[in-house]
Amino acid sequence: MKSIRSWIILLINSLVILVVVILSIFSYKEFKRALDERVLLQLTSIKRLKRIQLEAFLNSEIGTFINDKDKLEGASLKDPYLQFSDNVDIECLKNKLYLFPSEQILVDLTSCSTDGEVIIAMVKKVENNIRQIQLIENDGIQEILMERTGMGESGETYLVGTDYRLRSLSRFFPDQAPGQILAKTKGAEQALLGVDGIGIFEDYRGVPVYSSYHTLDIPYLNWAILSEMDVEEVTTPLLKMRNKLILISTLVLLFALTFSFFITVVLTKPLLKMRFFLNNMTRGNYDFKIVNTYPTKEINEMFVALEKLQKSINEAIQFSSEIGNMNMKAKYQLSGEGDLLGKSLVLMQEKLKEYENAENVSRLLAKKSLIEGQENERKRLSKDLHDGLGPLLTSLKLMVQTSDLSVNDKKKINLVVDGTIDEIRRMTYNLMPTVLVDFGVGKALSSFIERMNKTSGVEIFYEDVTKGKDGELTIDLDICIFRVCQELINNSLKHSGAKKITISLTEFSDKLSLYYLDNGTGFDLTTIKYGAGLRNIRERIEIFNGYLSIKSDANGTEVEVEIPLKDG
Amino acid sequence: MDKFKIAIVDDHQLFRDGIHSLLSKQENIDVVISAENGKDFFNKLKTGIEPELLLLDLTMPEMNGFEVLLRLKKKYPQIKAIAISMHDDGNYIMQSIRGGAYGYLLKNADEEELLLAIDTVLNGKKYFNQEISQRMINIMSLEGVSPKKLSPKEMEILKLIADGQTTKEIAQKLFISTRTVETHRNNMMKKLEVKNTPELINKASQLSLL
Repeated sequence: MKSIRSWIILLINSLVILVVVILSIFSYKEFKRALDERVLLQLTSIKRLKRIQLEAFLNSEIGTFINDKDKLEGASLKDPYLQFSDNVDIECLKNKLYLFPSEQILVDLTSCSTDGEVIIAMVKKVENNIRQIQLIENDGIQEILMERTGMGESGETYLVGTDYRLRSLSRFFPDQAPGQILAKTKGAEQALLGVDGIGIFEDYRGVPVYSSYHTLDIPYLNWAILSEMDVEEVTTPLLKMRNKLILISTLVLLFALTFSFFITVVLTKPLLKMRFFLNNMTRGNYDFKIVNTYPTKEINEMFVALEKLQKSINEAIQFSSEIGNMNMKAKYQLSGEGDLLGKSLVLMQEKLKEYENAENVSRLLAKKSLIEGQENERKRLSKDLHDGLGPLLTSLKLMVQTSDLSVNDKKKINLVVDGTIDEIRRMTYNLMPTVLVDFGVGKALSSFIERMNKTSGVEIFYEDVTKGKDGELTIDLDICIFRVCQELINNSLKHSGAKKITISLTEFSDKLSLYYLDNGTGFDLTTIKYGAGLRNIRERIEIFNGYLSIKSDANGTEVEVEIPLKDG
Repeated sequence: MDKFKIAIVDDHQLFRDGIHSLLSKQENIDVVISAENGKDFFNKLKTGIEPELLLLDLTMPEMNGFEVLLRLKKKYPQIKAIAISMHDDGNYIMQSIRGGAYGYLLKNADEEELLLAIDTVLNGKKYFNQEISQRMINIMSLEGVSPKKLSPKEMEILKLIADGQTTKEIAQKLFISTRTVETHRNNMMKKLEVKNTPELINKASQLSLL
C-alpha cells in the first residue's frame, strides 16, 4: 500500500506533466501551423510581385520591340545569328527559328546554348524570313529576381523553363549557368502544368523548402516562377520555442514537485498527528491535549471533531468511574442521539440507582427492625423490671415494716430494699424511661435534662415546644429523638468539654424539629464521621426519613434534625 | 371518735395488703376501699362508701391514676388523693399536681413518711417532701408557658422579623436553626392567614401583637 504522500506526489506530477505536454504540443503545432501559413503567404506575395514585375518588364520589352519602326521597316537580316555568342549551337537556332510561327515574337533559346546560358530573343519573322532578332538582356530579369528583401538567408525567386532547367541564376550556385541546373521539383512540375499553389517539398538541391509557384503569364513563354525559402531557416525560431517550452516544462515540473511535496507536508502532518492521537485513543490513553492550529479549515474541523470525541469519551470515562464509585449524583450530558455509550452508561446509572435504592430500602428496613427490636426488648425489660419487680419490692418493704422484726433489723432490711428499688429505677430509666412511654419525648427530655443538670455540672437549656400526648409523635419517634439527644449530650459531656448546651425541640403540624448547640471544642467531622455514636444518630434519623446536619468547629457543635410527620 | 376513711387503689394485691396491714395498726384510720384500678374504685364508690382520702397508684390497667384524678375533680372533689407511685420522674409529679393530687409519695416511702403525708393531707394541707418538690420545681423551670394564639417563641421571632433581622440573625440569636425559624414564620403566616412576611407584620400590628 502506498502512502498518501507518494499518491499525492504521483497524482499532482502526472497531472502537471500531462497538462504541460498537451499544452506544449498544442502550442508548438499551432505555432508551426501559423508560421507555415505566414511564410507561404509571404512567399506567395513576393512571387506575385516578382511575376508582375517580370511580366511588366518583358511585355514592355516586347512592346518596344514591336513599335520599333526601323526594325519593322528594315529588310531581312542577312545574318541574323551574328549577335549570338560562340556558345550557341547555330544549327539548333536555325531549326528553332525555322519552326518559329510568324505571329510569335518572344522565344526561349536557352536549349540551344551549349554552356547553359539563358537566351531569350524577340523575333520578327515575315514569310519565313527573319527580319529582326533582338536578345533580351538577362541582367534585367536577374535584377528583378535578385531583389530579395524579406526572404532571409535562404530565400530566392527563380524561373524554370519547360525543360525543367533554370532560367535565372541560382542563389546557391551563382557561378553555374542556369541551364545546367535541373529543377524537376514538385512545384516546377505543377506550375508548368499551369497549376498555381504552395507547398513544402524538396527543391533542386534536395533541401526541403517552403515554396510558392505560379506559371508566368507571358505570351509564347511557358515558364514557371517559384519563390522558395529553406525550411531550416524558417523553423529556427520554432526550434528555439521548442527548447524554451522544454525549459519551461522542466521548471513547471520542478515547481510542481516542490509544490506537491509541500502539499503532502501540509496534508500529511495533521494526518500523522491524527494517527498519533487515534493510536493513543486505541491504547486507552485519552489524556492528551489536541492542538488544532492548522491553516486549513477542513483539517481544523477534523481536529475540532476529534477534540469533541475525546471530550465526550473522557466525560464517559469520568462518568463511568463516578458510577463505579457509586456516585449516583454524577450527571452526564448526552452528546447526541447517537451517543450509545452515553445512553448505556446513563441506563447503567439508573439501574444502579434502583439497585442502590432497593438496597437502601432493605438496609433501612433491616436497621429499622433491628433498632425497633432492640428498643422493644428494652421496653419489655424495663416494664418487667418496673411493673414486676418494683411492686414486689415495695410490698416486701411494707411487709418488713409491719413485721415483728426489731427496729434495727427493719432499718437494715429497708436500706437494702430501698437500694434495690433505686437500682431498679436506674436500670429501668437506662433501658427505657417510663416517662418516655407515658409522656412523650418532650417531657422525657425535660426530666433527662433535669437529671443531667444535677449531676453533670453542665448548664443545659431546654425548650420543649412539643404537644406531648396530644401531638402526633409516635412512640418510635419519641424513642428516636430521645436516643439522639442522649447520644448528643453524652458526646458533648464525654468529648467536647462543653459548659453550656442549648436544646430546642419543636413540634410543627408537619414536622418535628430538633436544634442542638454546645460550646465545646467540637470534633473533626471528616475523621469522626463513622464513629459509633454519630453513625447511630444518623441511622436512627434515616429510618424516619429525616434531615440531619452537623456542623462542628472549635467553638462548638451545632446539630439540626428535622423529621417529617404523618408521611411515614 | 370517728376514724378517717381511706381508700387504696393499686393493681398489686400484695402492695394493697401491705398498706392495709400497715394502716390497720393506726387506731384512727380505717381502710374502707381496696380497689385494683380506677374502674373498680369508682364502682365501689357507688355503693355509698365515701373515703376522705385516697392513696392512688398512677400506673394501672383499665383506668390509670391520672384519669382517676380527673374524674374525682369532677364528681368527688371532697376526696383528697395522694399519688403513690414507683415513678420518681418530675413529669409524673407535675401531672399529678395538675390533676389535683394533694401529695406525691414514692412507693418505697417509709412508714413514718406515709403516715406524715396522710396526716398532713387530712389536715387540709398538701404534702410533698423536699426531693419531690425539687423535682417539681426543676421540671416547671424547664417547661414553657401554655400556648396562646402565637407561641412565645413565635412572638419572639415575630418581633425580630419586625425589627428587620434576617432569618440567619434570628436563628443565631435564638439558638435555633434557620429551618426552624422559617417553619415558625410559615406557621405564623398560616395562623394569621397571610401570605408573606410584610403582610404578617401588618396583620400582627393590627392585632396589637407588636
